[in-house]
Amino acid sequence: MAPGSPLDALLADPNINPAELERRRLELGLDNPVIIQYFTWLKEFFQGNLGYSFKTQRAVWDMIRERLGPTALLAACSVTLSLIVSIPLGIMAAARPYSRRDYLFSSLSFLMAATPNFFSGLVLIYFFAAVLRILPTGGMYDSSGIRNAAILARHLILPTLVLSFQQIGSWIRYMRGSMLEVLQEDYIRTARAKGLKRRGVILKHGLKNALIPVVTVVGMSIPSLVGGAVVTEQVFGWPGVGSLMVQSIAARDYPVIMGITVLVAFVVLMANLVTDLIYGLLDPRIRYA
Amino acid sequence: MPRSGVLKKTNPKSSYFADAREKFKEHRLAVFGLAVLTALVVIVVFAPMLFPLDPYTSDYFEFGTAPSAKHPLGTDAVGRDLLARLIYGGRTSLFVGLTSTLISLLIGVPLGLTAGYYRGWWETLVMRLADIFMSFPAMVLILVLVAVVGPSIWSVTVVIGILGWTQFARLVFANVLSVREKEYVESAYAIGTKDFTVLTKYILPNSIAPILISMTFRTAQAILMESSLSFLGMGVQPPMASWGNLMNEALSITVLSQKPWIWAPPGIALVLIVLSINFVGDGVRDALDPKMRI
Repeated sequence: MAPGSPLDALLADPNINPAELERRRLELGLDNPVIIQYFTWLKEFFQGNLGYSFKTQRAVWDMIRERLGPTALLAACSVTLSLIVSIPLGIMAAARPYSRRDYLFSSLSFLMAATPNFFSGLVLIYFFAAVLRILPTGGMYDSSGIRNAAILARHLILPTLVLSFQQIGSWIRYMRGSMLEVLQEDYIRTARAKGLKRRGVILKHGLKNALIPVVTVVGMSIPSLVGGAVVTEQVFGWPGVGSLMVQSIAARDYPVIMGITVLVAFVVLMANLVTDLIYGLLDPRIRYA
Repeated sequence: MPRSGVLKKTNPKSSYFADAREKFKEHRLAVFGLAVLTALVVIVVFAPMLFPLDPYTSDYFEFGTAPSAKHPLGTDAVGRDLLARLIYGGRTSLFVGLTSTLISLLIGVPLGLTAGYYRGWWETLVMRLADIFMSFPAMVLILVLVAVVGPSIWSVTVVIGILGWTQFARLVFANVLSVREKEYVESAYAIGTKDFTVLTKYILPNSIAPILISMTFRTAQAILMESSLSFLGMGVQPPMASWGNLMNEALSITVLSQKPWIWAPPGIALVLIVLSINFVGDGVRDALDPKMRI
């Protein structure tokens, strides 16, 4: 199957001989057909064992576990920032459709959605770390060895921004569309007819209803958030699951790749389930049989 | 975009596409996008035929030099002309974007069409499969698949193409459901028209507009995916140039901070092309099918 094998790295060692290489190959079970390797993996998986890394010989679950924290932190910050920015901007755009402000926001959201994570990452590192020298270029802590929240926060700013851009870009448009639709409803007209102020109607009667479809969109963005995290973590040297993934792929470390893939699938399924449940809570018209 | 309260006088004789063209012209951003896109495509396709551009040969007197009269965008670490590589990288992007979208189309349209027409177990199989594909992060799946088959321009194109089928399948499926009970379909069926003819002559034409619109957005998406993969070193491999792998050099902090001419132009070109394709898609959508949302 794949060109390149997990043993390639060993070839660089001048002291290795073919017999030793063959011994390692048998040890890792690489002499078996792929399908047999897969069922061996599956059997172990159902017993709660994700296997051991070809490269470091460590348990895959241990390797993933120590990377989970940084990725979860980055993802949580990014979702929070995206919501804080995109919801108000979307509402403002919908409040005055086809105005200059609306065009500005939609151009902005197009630009954000069209800029790949790695390019916005490079541009931000260039300006804030290389030119202005006010933020670090990457990593989670600096070389001083001190680990406190202030240092972590400084390292978190740029990756969070980069990971948020694409979400903000698409969420502004969804928020705007959803709000525009709600504002045409009869109950909005009734509220206005009662003499309530436009602003209050939008924020009180409109927002609650307009947010419902946005919940789905946020839930559906989880896969692209995970994909974005892979690239973002690589650009910033963030020690998360995404950069572990890229490293394992480069090293053909199949057990780790499999482990991360299973984890991602699990996270996405959970996210979908939670989205559905929240959706039901927000909209009492939806009932699960 | 609709202007409130203004009803435009329409020529009763004008055709569907003439109407659409008029509406497209009103969408200022779309017209702007089309102009930029045309300019980029013309440069990328024709410049290598008109000017002596060589993206592969090293200039042994200039390694990693700044922009100069001889090399307008400078040279890379092994002395290759960056302007030539930028233009050839554009060819790579366009090729991957268009070819992979075509692959997605060829897989997705027949599946969506038959799933909507025959319903039953086939529908369940195809549409649930689409759900599974869509719920998993495309980027992660593509990374794994490309790693398994080995990175190259062909593997990237095919993998992105295959994974894009769901968008088209769902779109066509929804469209087929809405027209399959119409009288003209029923009457075609009643006079003994073959299924294949009913599908291609009576049902598929209803989906042409949404398919066209979806194609533009998908092309932009595919170009972004290819560049991300190439940037990570899992896509198009050097010496072949791609906007993504040109920017890979910027992972070194010296290149990033001191040689912005290496990584900024491909990035800007990438944003410009994706942005203009999306604007055009937006304009085409408003012109052909204002009710549709993608």
